[in-house]
Amino acid sequence: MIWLETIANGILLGGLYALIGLGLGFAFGVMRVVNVAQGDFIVAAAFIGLYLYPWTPVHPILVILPVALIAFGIGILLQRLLINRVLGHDQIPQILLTFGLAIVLRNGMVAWFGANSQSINVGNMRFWGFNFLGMRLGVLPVVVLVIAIVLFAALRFWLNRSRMGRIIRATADDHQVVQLLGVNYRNVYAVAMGLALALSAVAGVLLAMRGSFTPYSGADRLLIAFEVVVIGGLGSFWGMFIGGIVLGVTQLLALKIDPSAGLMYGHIVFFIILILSPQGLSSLFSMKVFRK
Amino acid sequence: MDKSFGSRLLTSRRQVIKSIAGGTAAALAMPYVHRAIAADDKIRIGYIDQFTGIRANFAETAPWVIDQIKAQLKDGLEIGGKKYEVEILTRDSQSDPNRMGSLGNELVLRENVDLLLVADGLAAPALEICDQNGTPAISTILQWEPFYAARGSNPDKGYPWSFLFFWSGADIIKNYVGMWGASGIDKVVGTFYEDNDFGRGFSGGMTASLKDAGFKEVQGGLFKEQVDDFSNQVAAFREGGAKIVTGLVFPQHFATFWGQAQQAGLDIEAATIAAAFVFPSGVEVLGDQGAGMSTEIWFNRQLPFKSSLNGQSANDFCSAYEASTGKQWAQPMGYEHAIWEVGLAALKNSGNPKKREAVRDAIAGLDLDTIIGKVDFKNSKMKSVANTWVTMGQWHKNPKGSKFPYELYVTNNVTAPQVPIQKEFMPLSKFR
Repeated sequence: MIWLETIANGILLGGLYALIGLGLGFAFGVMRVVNVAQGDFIVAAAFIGLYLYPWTPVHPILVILPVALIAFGIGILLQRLLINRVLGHDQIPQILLTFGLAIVLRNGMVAWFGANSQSINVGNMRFWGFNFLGMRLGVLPVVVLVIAIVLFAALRFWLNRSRMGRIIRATADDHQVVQLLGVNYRNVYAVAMGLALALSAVAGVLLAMRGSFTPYSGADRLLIAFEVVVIGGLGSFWGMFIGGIVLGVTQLLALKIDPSAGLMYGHIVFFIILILSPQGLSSLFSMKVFRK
Repeated sequence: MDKSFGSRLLTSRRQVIKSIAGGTAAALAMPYVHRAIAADDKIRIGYIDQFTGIRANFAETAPWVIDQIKAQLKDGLEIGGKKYEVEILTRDSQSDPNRMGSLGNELVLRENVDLLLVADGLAAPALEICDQNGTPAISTILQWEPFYAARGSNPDKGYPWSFLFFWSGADIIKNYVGMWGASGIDKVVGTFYEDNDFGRGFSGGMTASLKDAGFKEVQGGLFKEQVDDFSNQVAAFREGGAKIVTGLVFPQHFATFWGQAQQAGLDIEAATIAAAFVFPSGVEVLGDQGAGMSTEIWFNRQLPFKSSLNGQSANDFCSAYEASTGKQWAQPMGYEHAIWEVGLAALKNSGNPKKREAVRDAIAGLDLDTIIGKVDFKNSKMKSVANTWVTMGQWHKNPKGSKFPYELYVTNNVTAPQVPIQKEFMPLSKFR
């Protein structure tokens, strides 16, 4: 039973990991932009959430909405003012740019907010638990998993069914051909980056509710995001979700057997999958959305 | 005036040119006098602390303490009937041992400081440079076991030039076990630790002590810093029936652990954690659930001690900090002040602060009542080390409308009977 509980907790943790990876994977899938500053944006979103949640009506967990909106705006500005300028055949400039941005963000946050660890207080919800099939699970982790599933499904649905979604997919396929059809791909990229950061922001705020964070947490978050994206297969949606779950379950099972292992077994699984199937798990399902 | 004018002529070409240009009368009237003191009349003190980086919260109070000391020393320091100007060179170790070494080099070899003060847990690289070059150094906020172990020394051998005053890792474990023993809580302890030097050391000592004292230990093991899930430890503690949790855990990790423990219905009567609850922020991150958390105390505002530098009591000292910074007092500030008390007392007692041997012997012969209590190198059985007290305490919620949500009180004084108990220890269920 205790093993089942560990697996269940791993799935709950994995849902959050999947969400951490989603923003990074989406930006990469659409624009081929590797946003190295993703982890630090996640932490920055958590800080924004920290300052907004006392004013959030009904329930503090709803703070994810204003934070996502702000992050969406920041994403558009980021893409328009910075990343669009360095786009081209060479990927190195944008990696360097976002890398520099990550350093500036991190040190800026240390300077403004201090190095203390912070947490978003969702009231007593953080401490609630319930019995389920003989297991004892936390309410907040379940809520986080549900939010993750809803966001994955909503994004998939929106990309498939809406006009903007179709434009984004077309731009992802070939940003030069869409220009022939009157689409300004730079604007599409701006919207996509806005969405990517909004998704990351939700992950950041949920992470800050589940545990806590410091301005230095960004690097660990980025590593998780990368692994989720690579395990899942670049640009694949449900692959990423499964990637997150695989990482979460592996980590908790490994910690149960060897508490001092840390994230090592997660990294090993990541490594094995990378060797066996460089396209990620999704090549097994071939459910890609963006590219052939 | 005449003398200082003369020495200015000798020491500074630029000022000579200025004086000639401005006319002698104008130059005499200018406020150059302080700067004109020759190098022999100037004491240079280096101060290294972890102002930024992963352990920056230990030094959050330090800049204010240094400003206070600088204000105190602005008219210089009189030693053996002679007035000395004091220059303080502050450096940031960034919580990085490599940088600590290069700062030690810079201050000792290039800046040629007369005394080095290090209030940083990773002082060893800088202290080693002092020992090699014959510069007196005083360190604190580092337990004496690693102080000896880091550079292969022992209490009989000591070090030639570097000194330490702080409490011992063995004492803190005695205090933990003593407090639980006196509390009447079931003797089942769940333990988990950060996987670092301090965590590993703490873990070994704790396991042995728990066994000796007849406690049952439920081991949660060591965990890595990147981990953000503690459901396994929670499940193990629940299965093992732990009523007490302890370990060396950083605040963000404990907050995650505590959330999951509550979700899983883990019933805990005492949470006694090193590191996490030293600072008010570690308790505040738990929201309403911070009351009753217990930890070691090495300084707090209710202590009956006062500063030998400015006569401030511990309470006045903390209040002055809160009034000028708007932040709550924190334990390291007592030691950050005391290291200056010790350093300046040694310089005074030396008779000649520019003579390294005299300063070193003055430190070794020091027995001083400071804001953190007695710092006694003179009668210490250990070479180079003055052992200070450590005791136990608990965070209580402040009354509504207070400036800060929690306040720390001494509840037990197992190894330090000279420290008065301020409140009785209570199990966590009494706080809910």
